[in-house]
Order: sequence, then C-alpha cells, then structure tokens
Amino acid sequence: MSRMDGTAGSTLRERCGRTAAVLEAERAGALEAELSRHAAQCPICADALWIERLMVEDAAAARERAPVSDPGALWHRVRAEESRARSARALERALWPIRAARWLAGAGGLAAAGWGIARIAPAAHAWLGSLEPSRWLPAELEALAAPELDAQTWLLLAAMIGLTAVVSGLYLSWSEM
Amino acid sequence: MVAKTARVGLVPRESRDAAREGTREADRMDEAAFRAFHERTARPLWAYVVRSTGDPALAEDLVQEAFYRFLRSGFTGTGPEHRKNYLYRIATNLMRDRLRSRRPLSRDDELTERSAVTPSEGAGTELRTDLARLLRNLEPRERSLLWLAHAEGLPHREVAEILGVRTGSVRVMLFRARKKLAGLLREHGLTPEVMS
Repeated sequence: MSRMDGTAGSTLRERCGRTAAVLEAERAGALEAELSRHAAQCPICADALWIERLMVEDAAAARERAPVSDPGALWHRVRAEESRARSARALERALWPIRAARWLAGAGGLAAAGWGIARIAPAAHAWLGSLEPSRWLPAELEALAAPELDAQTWLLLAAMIGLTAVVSGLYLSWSEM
Repeated sequence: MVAKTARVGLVPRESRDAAREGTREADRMDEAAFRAFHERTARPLWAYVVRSTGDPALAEDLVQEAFYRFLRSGFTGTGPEHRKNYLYRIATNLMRDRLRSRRPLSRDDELTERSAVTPSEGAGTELRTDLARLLRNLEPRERSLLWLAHAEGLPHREVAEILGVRTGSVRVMLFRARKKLAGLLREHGLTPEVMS
C-alpha cells in the first residue's frame, strides 16, 4: 500500500509498492476491481496510471504521423559502402608490396646516384678544366664553369640532392593515398 | 554526418558494441528481414525521438542515422526485442550527443513542433500538443525515461540498458519524472478528469 506519511522530504518514502502491478495490469488490459480501487485511492498509483494512459495515447498519435523513409534505399547504400570499404582494404593489401618495392628502388637509385657522382665528379671537373674556360668565358664566370670544390662541398651537394629526392618521394606516396 | 563518419573511417561506438556482443557475418540480416524490422520499429522510434528532442526534423534525421549505424554495426542480437533495444540505444546516444552540442529550444522550435500536429487529428490534438509542450520542461533523460517506460511499456531492465543507467536507478528516476510531469500537467489545469 502507499507509504504516505507526509513527513518525509524524500520522494522515495512516497513510493507505492503496488504501482508496478497496477501498470502491468493496465498494459495487459486486465485491471482488476481490487487494483482499480487501489489506484483510485492511492495518489501515487493514480498519477502513474494517468501518465501511462496519456503517454500511450500520445504515442499512438505520434506513430500515426511519423514520416517513414524507404528502408531499401538505406540497405543498398550501406551495402554499397561496405563493398567499397572491402575493395579499398583489398587494394591497400595489394599495394603494400608495390609500395615497399618502390621505396627500395628509390633508396637503391639514390645510393647509385651518390656513388656515380663521387666517381664522375673528378673526371667531369677535369674535362671542364680542359675546355679552358678562361679563353671563352668572362673572368667572373670562370669559377662557375670549373669550380674548385672540396670533398665536403661535394658531400653537401649530394646530401641536398638526396634530401630533395626523399621529400619528393614522400610527397608522391602521400598524395597517392 | 553520415558521410562524415564513413569518410573519416572512424569505428562507430555501435560497431564496437556489436563486435563485443558477438555479431557474426553469417547471422547478418538480409534485406527482407531489415525491411520487416524497419517497418516494425521506424514509427515507434520516431515517436520516441520526437518526444525526447521536441524537434520533428531532428527526429527524422536521427532515426535515419540510427538505422544507418544499426546496419553498419552488423548487429543481429538474440531476437527482435534485443535488436529493437539496440536500435533505441543507438538513437539515445545520438540524441545525447546532438542535444549536448545544441542551443536551447527557441520559440521557433516550439512553433515547428506545434505545426507538426495537423488540425485534422481530432479532439485530442490540443491536449497532446500540451503534453508535448510540457514534456519539454523535463530533462531530456526524464522524457526518454517516461517514454520508454510508459509509451513503450518496457521493463526497467531494458529501459536501463537503453539509457545506459543502472536498473536500480530507473525506478527512482522514473518516479521523480512522473511526479514532475504530473505536477506540470496540474499547473496547467490539466487533471485526469479534464483530460478524460
């Protein structure tokens, strides 16, 4: 029965132990006379029953005017997205060895270029010198045609070329993704 | 929003839940089963969301999103009720996320809600509109709670599961929400006698 002592500040003391039974009976369409009498006398159960009936009626009305979209369109859209995602994953798996091979080739190419520059540079320098640039170039440009570069400068130049290659490679890989 | 989630490749919370609850590829719904499920749940879900948010347009959007995430999750559940509760849980999370980032309802929103009720709906229309308006004075969680427990008639355990609260808390929260709504109804001159 209701525990309405009226002195409690807490709402918990105002609960009725039969509310659940009243509501269940109402939902089952079998609100017996005894429960019905209780609900009429107990303000807690009366309110619960009132709110229940109001909300059930409101729910029925709201469902009536609910806009319903085509489930088929949603179904096909989700399936198409899943299919695309599966393809993308498969492609990613297939591309991985290709990408690795490309990086290996790039690194190899870079090493070969460094080695080649180191081998060719002295010969190229000698050849440029044999052209005697002082005969056909102004004095201020002569140093450019056959520069006197030391080993450290050559190394710096190779490092700059290498860095440019690495940055370009990274950019190309990234833009592909 | 749907496209954004798909594009950035995030794993939605629902997918993780579905994985945790043991979804198997072989158990997935086919199109006919999904159509039947949608037919059975779309209208009640919209009613739940529109009463919880108070915004018909937002409700339509969220219902679509909820079904979309439900499908993406591949959740099958142990039966129709399990699936339905799972869908409601998705919708509840979406509402929570959306309402958290949303401004308070304005007068324009109220007019939108009022205009969503067509005049041809009969004598109960005005009372229902009053109920819809008064529900807005409750916290979103209280509205959801009242709706699930009374309009949907779900047991406390399922209400707790959908709302992500403890079962023991539902009884107390429900009692408070009911008391608050009854008080509001009376304040506006709506008593059981008037409304019947």
